[in-house]
Amino acid sequence: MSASDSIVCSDLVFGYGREPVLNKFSATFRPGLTLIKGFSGCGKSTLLKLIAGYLSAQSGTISVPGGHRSDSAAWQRSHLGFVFQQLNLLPLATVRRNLELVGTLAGLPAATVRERTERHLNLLGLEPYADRHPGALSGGQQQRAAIARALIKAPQVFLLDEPTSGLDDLNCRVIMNLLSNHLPTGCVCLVATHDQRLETLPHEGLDFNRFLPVERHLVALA
Amino acid sequence: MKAWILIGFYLWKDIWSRWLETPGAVLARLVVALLLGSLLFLAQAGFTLGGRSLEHRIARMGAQTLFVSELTTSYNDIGNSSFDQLLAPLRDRAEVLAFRQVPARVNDAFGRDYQLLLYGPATRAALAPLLGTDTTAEAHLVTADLPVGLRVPVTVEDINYQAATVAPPAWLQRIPASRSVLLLPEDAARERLRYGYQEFALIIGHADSDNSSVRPLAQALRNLLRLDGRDQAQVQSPEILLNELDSLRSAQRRWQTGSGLAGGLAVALVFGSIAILEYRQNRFIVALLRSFGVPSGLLLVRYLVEALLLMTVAVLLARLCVAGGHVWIFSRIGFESSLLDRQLIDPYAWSALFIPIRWLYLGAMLSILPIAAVIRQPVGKVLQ
Repeated sequence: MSASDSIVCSDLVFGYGREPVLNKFSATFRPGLTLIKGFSGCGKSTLLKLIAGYLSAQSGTISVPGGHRSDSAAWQRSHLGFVFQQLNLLPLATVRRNLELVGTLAGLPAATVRERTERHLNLLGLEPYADRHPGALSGGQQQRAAIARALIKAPQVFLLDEPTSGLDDLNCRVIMNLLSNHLPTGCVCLVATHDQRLETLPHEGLDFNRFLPVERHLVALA
Repeated sequence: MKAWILIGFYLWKDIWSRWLETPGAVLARLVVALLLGSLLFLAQAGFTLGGRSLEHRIARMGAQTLFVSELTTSYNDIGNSSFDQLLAPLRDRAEVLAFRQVPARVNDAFGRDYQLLLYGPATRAALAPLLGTDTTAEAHLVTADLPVGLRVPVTVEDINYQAATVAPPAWLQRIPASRSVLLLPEDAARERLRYGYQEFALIIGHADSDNSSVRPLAQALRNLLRLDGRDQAQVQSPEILLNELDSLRSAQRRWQTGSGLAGGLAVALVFGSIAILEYRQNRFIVALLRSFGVPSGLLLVRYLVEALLLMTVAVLLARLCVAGGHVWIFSRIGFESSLLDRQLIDPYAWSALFIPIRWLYLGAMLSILPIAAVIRQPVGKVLQ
């Protein structure tokens, strides 16, 4: 594995106010699944957004596979898959159209978009709901659809922010199966979670709590 | 390309869905733009009609026509140069028709009365198109009451003439109380001048001159009169109406700029405020689309299209309303009914409405500036 296949974070500093959420954070994430674990508010989601280019670090650098700038729209369209905790789907488009739209934006040929849409709908058990709008889906179905939509472009970087939060075991197992067996080759997949059920996945891990004083604070309260 | 069409289609659905969800926001923008558009269109139509009214008055008077007259009662003045000679320097830029109106009893064989006008040799040349090439007639009757080309016996006091009838030219209307006249060469009735006469001249600018050329012509006329010591001569000129027309057009330009700016600003404020409110409700979807790599410029176009679409609907409705009430409104203001026929003068032609419309559209375009500022907010700060 070379560094150009990995995500490399160097001395990242970021904060929403005066207190930094990340202070001189450095890490390298290699292809495969990495679980970023930690309590709520410890900065897991922030790290994912920084890597995705959705936030800008106050200092430090992030390099993503292929040497792209992570805040470039072209890279985000073609090589990044991101699953947010909430509000993942376009409400006025059907599930199928949500997938097709992102695949087309990624520049995939129409036949590939169609083939991958059907494959991912099937893989995530969404075929019966393909022509429904997101408002007619349960939370678990919406989350699976969001994952399918992110995977349709076979991204180099796949970032999931609490993908199983609030989901039942069945939905959780479907997502775990996908993450274990169907990640694109060479994909760097980071999952920010505090869901213990995901611990059973083969993965590298990063305990985010160690970067923050919050853990000591919560332990004292507990 | 297909991706942008899909995104465009989705954004259009988003606009439509917002309109259905919050019809009040749509109506508020439509009503404001409709009222402003109607006001601007009415003012534009008022200025157009006012201008046309003045133009008609000028045309009736003769946009290029000057009229000078002087009453001569003294026998001793007969030796003075006539207008026919005095105004000769103006002939290179205008047609000069100079006459002396003599008090005499003139009757034709049917007992009709005529005014007697004497003309000099220079005016004879200018009258050639009217009098024709027939030089055998010693006098000409200018009247609409008799067919053209007749020979009619005419008596001036006790002297008999054979007069050829000619059709009245347009300039005859400018001569006071002159429905029918007898034209005689000055040499044929020179002795009549001893009883006094009114001398007048029509100075008609060439057809290819524009209205502004009448001002130097009038000035030249006044200078010639002053040089000849003719201080009593009265000059009638369309300059006052032309000045009035210039003032009206100047006021129109000022109004158009001022009201257009105010209207555009009002549109920008109202549309901008509502667009920001809508954006705040919609910012998650905008951020989600940006997270897919959709450029913020394209998302901004969605707001621009919405603003321009609403403005277009409002402009069409405003034109429909104002044009519908055109006759009712402007007849009450006091415009002549002949001016209100939209087949003849259409103040709501798009070319005429372009000036006020462009301000409204400019306001609509400016209304998305606040969104342009906030739409670049980092995706990560909007989406959780």
